[in-house]
Amino acid sequence: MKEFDTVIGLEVHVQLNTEAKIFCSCPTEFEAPPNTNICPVCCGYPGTLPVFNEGALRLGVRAGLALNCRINKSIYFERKNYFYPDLPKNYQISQYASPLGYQGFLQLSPERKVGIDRVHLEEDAGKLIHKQGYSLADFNRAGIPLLEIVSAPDIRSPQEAFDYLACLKLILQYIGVSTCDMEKGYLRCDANISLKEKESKTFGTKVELKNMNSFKGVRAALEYEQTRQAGRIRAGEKIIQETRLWDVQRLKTFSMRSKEEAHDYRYFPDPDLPDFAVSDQLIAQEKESLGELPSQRRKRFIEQYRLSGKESSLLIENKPLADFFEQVLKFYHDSQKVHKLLFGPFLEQVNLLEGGFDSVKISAKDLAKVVQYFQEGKINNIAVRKILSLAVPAEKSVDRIIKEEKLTQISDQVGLEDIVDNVLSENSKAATEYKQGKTKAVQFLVGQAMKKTRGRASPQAVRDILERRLKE
Amino acid sequence: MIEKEIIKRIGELARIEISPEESSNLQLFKIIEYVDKLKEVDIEGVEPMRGPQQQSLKTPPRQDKAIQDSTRKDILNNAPSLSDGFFKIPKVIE
Repeated sequence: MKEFDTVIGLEVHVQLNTEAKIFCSCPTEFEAPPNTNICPVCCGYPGTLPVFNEGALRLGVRAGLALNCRINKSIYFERKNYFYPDLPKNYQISQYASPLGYQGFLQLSPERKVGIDRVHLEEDAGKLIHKQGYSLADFNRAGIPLLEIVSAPDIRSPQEAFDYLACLKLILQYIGVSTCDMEKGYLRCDANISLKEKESKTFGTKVELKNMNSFKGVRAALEYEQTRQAGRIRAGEKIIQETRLWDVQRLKTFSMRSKEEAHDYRYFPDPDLPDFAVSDQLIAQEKESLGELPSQRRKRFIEQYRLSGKESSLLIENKPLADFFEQVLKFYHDSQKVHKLLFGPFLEQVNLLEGGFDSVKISAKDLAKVVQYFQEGKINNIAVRKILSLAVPAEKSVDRIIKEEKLTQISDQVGLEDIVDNVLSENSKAATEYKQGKTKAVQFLVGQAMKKTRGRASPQAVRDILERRLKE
Repeated sequence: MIEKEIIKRIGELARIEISPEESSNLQLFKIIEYVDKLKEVDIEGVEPMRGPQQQSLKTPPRQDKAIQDSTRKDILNNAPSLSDGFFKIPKVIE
């Protein structure tokens, strides 16, 4: 049977995090009512002229630098011509011959590197909603700055495509270029895939995949297409170069069956826009503002905080949580203990919140106190959970909660001994069972003792006393 | 024959209808032939010029500041048909 290598390239569009559109001053706000952020420029009125937004240029340069691209020192824009009702001017202002960045790469792991062919700036089109017998057009999105990021055909599997997207998204979020929220359409991804017979030097015919609305969707569509193409080639059939759409309900791709020859975009330089210089100063400033990239932070977390690779990855993948982690460490030094609390009882509470981490109310200082009190034996883990359940969703000081709820651990040894004595005399059956070898019975006895202290004793201390007494 | 095909294709791309009569009357290829004379010029090593603004003018871009435009209502009122703030248009699905 024929064996194949999979060849995948991804085309990602991200919405740049600017205040205004790329060629006019309309706001880019997401949830505005239809056609509120429009003006004669983004609606394609005759006689209007586009004026380039420096914010889009800066974010584009920053993304290019983070993706190890070379930056073009002089750029210009071209018109990409086609007719569609979401495009008021009948052309999209884009870049063709002089992309902002080129020849970059994305390091997925120490062993795997994916080339970035180019990153370029362009404007988004409007949004169409299709109804029975008519369509509705909203131009709020028309003219919003996009960065198109084109990978080299270096990706070797659907899983690697998934990893590439996750890695790319994290970088763009870290450097503040885009929120990359796929649900809001801030990140869109098209894929090209072809199969190459092993040992063969020529690429197979490629198919373009569209309409995937999640990273998992991209992976699933590529997996489906990989199998479909291999099947066809093995059956002696040809792969047709075409665009196929992913059907998320049926979990398969289907041909768009549009007239392929109709795509002739007739790019030419936009005479309304001059050349723009990308100065060394601007590039230096953007390089400066890059800050720490996810891969660097991961490495630092392993070294500085003695976290494992996996722990570190999980943390940095959630930037707000990683930032919070470092803030807590300013108030309490023990990174392992803080990490343990964050990924245990803290996230348990966060997951109960509707707004997730965004709606967490507890301050870093107060969370540090929780860890500290627990380490000092002032509170036990039952109290930790109780405190967090009150302090995570609402602005309430940890010290006050401890006072009001009387959560201070009973550490008075004599007091505990008395309680244990009581429990043993009240539950002689369980005590006998334990002595007969049913060691599980001790769990029940610990529970009874904890109940008597209303959860304020250290379960371990109670257990120690119990076991000692039972062996007497 | 080939010329007719090209004219038909150009018409399709521009979304305009060109009747066979118009098509045979078009001076298009004479014009192209005329402009083709330029091909005789030796341009080895010369950068293509995109316009007068190239190189000589490096325009500073605009600051990233959002301003709500005041002509929104006028733009909407210019449309032949509206529905809940949307432009209502004939159904087009590619």
